[in-house]
Amino acid sequence: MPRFWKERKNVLVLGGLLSAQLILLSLQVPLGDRPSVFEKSVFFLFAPLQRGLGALGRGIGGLWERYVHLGRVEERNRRLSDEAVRLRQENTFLRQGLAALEDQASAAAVLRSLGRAFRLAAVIGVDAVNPYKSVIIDAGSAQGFRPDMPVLDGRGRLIGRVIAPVGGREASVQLVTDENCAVAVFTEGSRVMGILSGDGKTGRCRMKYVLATNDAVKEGEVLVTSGFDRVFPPGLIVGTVTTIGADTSLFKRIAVAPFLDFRELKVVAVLTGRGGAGE
Amino acid sequence: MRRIIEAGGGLLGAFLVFTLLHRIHPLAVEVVNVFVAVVLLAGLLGGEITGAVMGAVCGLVADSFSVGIFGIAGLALTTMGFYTGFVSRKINVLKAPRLFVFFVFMAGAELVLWSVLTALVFGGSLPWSGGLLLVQPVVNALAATALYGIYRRGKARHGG
Repeated sequence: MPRFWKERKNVLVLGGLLSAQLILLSLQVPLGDRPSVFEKSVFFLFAPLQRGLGALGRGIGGLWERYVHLGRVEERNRRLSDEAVRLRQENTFLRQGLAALEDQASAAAVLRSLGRAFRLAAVIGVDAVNPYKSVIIDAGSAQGFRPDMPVLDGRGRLIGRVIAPVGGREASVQLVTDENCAVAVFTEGSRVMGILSGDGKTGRCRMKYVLATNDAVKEGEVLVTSGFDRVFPPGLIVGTVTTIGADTSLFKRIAVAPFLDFRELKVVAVLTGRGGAGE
Repeated sequence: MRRIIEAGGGLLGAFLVFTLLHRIHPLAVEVVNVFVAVVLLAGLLGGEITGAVMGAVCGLVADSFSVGIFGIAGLALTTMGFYTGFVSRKINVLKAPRLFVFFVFMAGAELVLWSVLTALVFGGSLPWSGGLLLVQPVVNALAATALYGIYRRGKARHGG
C-alpha cells in the first residue's frame, strides 16, 4: 500500500480532489439556487476578510487625499455624496408614493415611513466568476437584510435583490443582468407586461413572454416593475427597450439596456420593507 | 510548513487583489483572474500536488463569491494547477519568454475546460463580453510571469 501510494500519489491526490468537487456539485443539484452549507461556510469565512481588505484598500488609497491633499474637503465631499444618494432615493420614493396616493393623509403616512424604508450599503466586491451576476455589499443580517429585499442604485433604479447567503455584515446581491433573475415588468407607455431577465454575458437584459402578435411595445420605452412577482415593489424603473425582433417562437425577442451602470455601482440602497416607501 | 505558509500567503494576496480590482473597474475581473495567476505560480513552484490543492482552494473561494453552481471553477483550476506542475517538471520553462508562452497555454486550456464544464452543467456559455474574456489567458500569464520574476528576485536577494 505505501509503495502503491508512493508511485501514484500525485494521480490519487488529483483524483481525490476532483472527486470531492464532483460530490460537492452533485450535492448542489437538489438545492437549486440555494447555497449549500459548505458554500455558506466558505462565504462566511472569507466575506469578513473581503470587508476588512476592502477597508484596508480604501484606507491606503485614501491616505494621500486625506492627509496630504485637502483632508477635510475630501471628508465633506464624501458626506455630501452620501447625502445626495439618500436625497435622490427619498425623492424617487416621494414621487412614486405621491403619484399613487389619493389623499393627503396617506401621503403623510408615506413620509413618516421613509426613514425606515431603505438602508444604504457600499459595494465591496463583484462576482468572482461572472461580474454580471452578483455583487457583495457591506451590510447583512445585522442591518436587517434578508433574501429577496430589492436593491436600488444611487438614483433609485432597480439593480437586483438580496440573495442567500446573507452574512452578519455582508450580503450577496443578485443583479438584474443575471440570467436567473426574473422581474415582473411593464412598459411605461404601452403597458405591455413581461418578465425581465439578464443574458448573463454582456450586461444586457431581455424582456420575455411578450407575444409575437403584440405590436404595442416600442423601442425606447422605459420598463417599470409591476409588483406581480411579489418580490419587487411596483413603480421602480429598470431599463429601456433597445431593439424588438421576432423569430419562429411564440414570443418577441426584446432587448433591454438596464439602467444598472457598473461604473456608478459604489453605494446601493436596500429596501428593508416590502412595498418600499409605500409600507 | 514553509510551502503551506507560501500557499496561504498566495491565496490571501490573490483575494486582496480580487477585492481591490473592482475598484479600478467592476469589469476588470473579466480581464484578469488573479486566482488563475496564483494557481499557475503554485503549480510551477510546488509541483502537481501543490498546484492541484491551490487550484481546489482558489476555485472554491471564487465559487463561493459567485451566484450559480458551486464547484465549477474549482474543477477547472484544480486540473490546471496539477498539469502546470506536471508539465513544468518535464520541460524547461524557466526562461521568461518560454514561461509566458507556457502560462498562456495552461490558462487558455483552463478557459476551454471551464467553458466545456459550464456548457455541460449549465447548458450555457461563459460571459464572453464581446471577446473580452479571450484576453484573460494572456493577462493571467503576464501576471503569473511577473509574479514569478518577483519571487525569483526576492529569493535571490535573501539567498534562498
